[in-house]
Order: sequence, then C-alpha cells, then structure tokens
Amino acid sequence: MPFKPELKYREYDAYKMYYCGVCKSIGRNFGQLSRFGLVYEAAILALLLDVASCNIVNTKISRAGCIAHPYKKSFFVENSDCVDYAAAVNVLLMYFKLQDNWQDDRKFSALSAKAAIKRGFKKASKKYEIAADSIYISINQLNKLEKNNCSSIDEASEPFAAMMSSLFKWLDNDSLVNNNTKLDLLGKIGYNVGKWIYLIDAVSDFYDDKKKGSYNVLLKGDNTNNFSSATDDITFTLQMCMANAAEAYQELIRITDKEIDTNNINYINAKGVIDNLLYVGIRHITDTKVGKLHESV
Amino acid sequence: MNPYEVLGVSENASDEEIKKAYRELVKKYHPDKYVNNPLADLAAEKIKEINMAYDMITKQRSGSSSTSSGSSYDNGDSNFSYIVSLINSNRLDEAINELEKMPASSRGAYWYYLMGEIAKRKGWYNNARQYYQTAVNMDPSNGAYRQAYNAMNNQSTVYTYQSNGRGYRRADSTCDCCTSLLCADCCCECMGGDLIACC
Repeated sequence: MPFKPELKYREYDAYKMYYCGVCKSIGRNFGQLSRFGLVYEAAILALLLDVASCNIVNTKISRAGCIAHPYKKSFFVENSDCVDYAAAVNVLLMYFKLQDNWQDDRKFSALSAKAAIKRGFKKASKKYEIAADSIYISINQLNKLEKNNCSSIDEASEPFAAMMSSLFKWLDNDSLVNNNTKLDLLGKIGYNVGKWIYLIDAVSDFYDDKKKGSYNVLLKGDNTNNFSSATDDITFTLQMCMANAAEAYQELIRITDKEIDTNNINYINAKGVIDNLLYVGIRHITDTKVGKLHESV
Repeated sequence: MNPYEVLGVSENASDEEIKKAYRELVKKYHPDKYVNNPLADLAAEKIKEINMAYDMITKQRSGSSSTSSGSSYDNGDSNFSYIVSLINSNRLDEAINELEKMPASSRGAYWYYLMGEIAKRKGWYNNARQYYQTAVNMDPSNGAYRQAYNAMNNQSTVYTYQSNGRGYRRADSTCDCCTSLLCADCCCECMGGDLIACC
C-alpha cells in the first residue's frame, strides 16, 4: 500500500524485509501452505508495532532464498515477535475470509484453500486468542448488518474498524501492555485504517456488487437515489479516516522519538515507509478509486 | 443520603435559596472546568449526587406545594452537564443512553451538538457532520456549533496540506496542462492576439 514512486530505495528495502519476514514467519510457524495469500497490510502492521514497541532497533536481518524466488536470495527480518504476530493475524484473517467466500459463493477453491490452512489457523488462534476472538465477533456483526441491509456508512464500517482497532492494540507484547497511551494511539490508527479499508473496498467493488447483487453499503437505502450525496459522504469519511490515522501516528512518533535513538537507520526507514503510506499511499488510492466512482455517475 | 446536606442548606431553606445553592454547586463542579483533569471522574460523581439531591428536594416539595415551577429548565441543564462529564471521561455509550432518554420535544441545538461530539469521538465522522449541521441550522448564531462543524473540514485540509508537502500530486496533471493553455489563450485574447484559434 505505500506509494512506491515516492519511496526511497532504502525505505523500499526496509519494507520488503518486513514483507519477507512476515512471509517466512508464516511458513515457519503455520505451515508452508499458509504462505500463499500474504497481504501487504500484515507487513505494515509488523513495521508499525516494531516501531511502537521500540523493538525496531533490535531487529536482526538475515538473507536466504524462498519458495517463490528460490534462486534470488533476499533479506528478511528475523527474531521480531511483532513480525510473528502480524504473520498470525494474516493467517487468521485469511482463514475467515476463505470461510466467508465459501459460505457466500460456494466456490470449491475457497473450500480447498481453507482446508489447506486449517492447521495453521488452529495454531494461530490458540496462540493469539484475543485476535482470533475479535475477528470472529466482527465477522458475525458484519454478516448481521449485511442481512439487515444496513445503509449507514458509519454503522456498516464499524465492525471492521473495531476489529482492526483491537488487532493493532496488541496486548501480548511486554513493552506495550502497560503503556495505555501507546495502545490507545495504536487502536486509533487501527480503527481509522480499518474504516478506510472497509469503505475503499465498498467504493472499488461498487460496480461488481451492483452486477452480482451483492451487499454494498452504497447500494442500500436512499444511497442509490441520492448517489451524489452518498459519494460525498463516503469521500468525506475516507478523508477523515486518513487525517485521524495520520494524526494519531504523529502523536505516537512524538513518544517513540524520545525513546528510540532518532539516528537509528532502521527507525528512520520504518518511519519513512509508514509516513509514505499514511500521507501519500492511501490518499493516492482514495483519489483514484473515488475518481472512478465519480466518472461513471 | 440527606439531600439538604449535599446541597449545604438547612431543611427550612426557601425554594429560592435551594435553587441558588444548587446552581452554585453545579457551576463549581461543571465538567467544562475539569477537561483533561484527573479529577474529572470525581467531579462527575459529585454532579450526579447534586442532581439527585436537588431532584429529591423538588419532588418532595412539589408534593406539598406547587410553587416550584421553573425548575424544569434547571433540570434539563444539569442533566446536560452530567452528560458532558460522561463524554469528557470517554464513557460514550452511557452518554448516548442519557441523551436518547430525553424526550424528542426537548432536543435543541445543544442536544445535536453533543451527539455530534460523541459521534466524532467514536470515529463516526459522517454522523458527526450531520449532527453538527443540524445544530448549526437550529441555532446559526452559536459560534461553538459552527466551529465544531468547521474543525472537521479543517482537519482534512491540514492532512491534505501535509500530504502535498510530502510530494503528493494528483493524477490529473494533463488537466492542469489544459487549464494553463486555456488561461494563456484568454490572456492572449485580452491583448488582442489568439493562442487557440477555435476558442
């Protein structure tokens, strides 16, 4: 999700190291099959938590080949419990998503993929119970809202936002568990990013959902009749999510700047990546997707 | 609980004296004074107690005599200050409950403003904007409502500004090119020449 053209090479390398680190961690802890389906958000989550917990200065970097690129050795982050956590979250999210796909569309591919990662899922949900519970609860709420044809932007995006908020508020980490200020800020970033993800999906899936007759908050209630006011509302909310996530992140950085050596290159790179994501990356996606929605009205 | 003790008046005090004592106490413990103060919870508790005591006395007295008219405004007002204290200590669900308990007839601009504050804190930005808008429409003279409404837009302006500062550019740079050409054309026409012949 970061906007690559505005990233420095060293920042991109740092980001990639986390991406590979999360992927390796999935393979190591939850079985090789769980590795297919890594989402970029997990790498960002690992990076953000490593910054918040000040673990970023202690990360160990290794170099190895991997299944996808056996002949090209790449760098990856090792021994970070934040990376392991993000990996587990990724497996959990993927499993629930496949289950959802299977229930909705009865696609055989979803069922077989689900069966393939079942062992990894069980292991992850045992180790990170809070995370598994919050995903489970929010998916149930989401399904209920969809059944009731929820037409409120805020209400429809709440379960996903709340879920991301609790996933970002990682309580199992020693250096975060007693720091309520940091946890609150992480929760706020998670909430706003989660809300943004849900709503941007609603925007980009709009025409597909319309064709298939699937649920989409923009297709419910008065939103189709007052389409321009609905798109205005959703654009406004997306902007507020970005602004609030960025604000909370700045506050978090103000705290960690006092705790971490600000000349540490890992820290500088990590900040560069997250900064790019929150200020340029998501705004770029927002403008492109919302623009497409407006074009075809 | 002795309601007279809570308000610090004797049992023979007149209605006026009680009302005066009550008002002073509410002012003293008003949640607005305790924003970002560790004593906010304590003050909220105190306000609750004061309201209960005042309610008890007015109920007792209205049973014996019917002179306590005009207390409804105070009741409403004190109720709001309790809700504000709930909002300030981030007990948002309780605050919503209290607000929704109020009859629709007594929901003025301030009621919508508070609903907006809660929605904003919860991250329900669209709802917040609608509530603030209603508050502004009901009482356009109130600067606080308008300010709350504008603050949200300002927040996204600040974000856009910071984002631009990080090198963000809109994808429609070709459009900018067109506009500048048209501008140049207009300028030329003003001077008597023409850059684009067809317009």
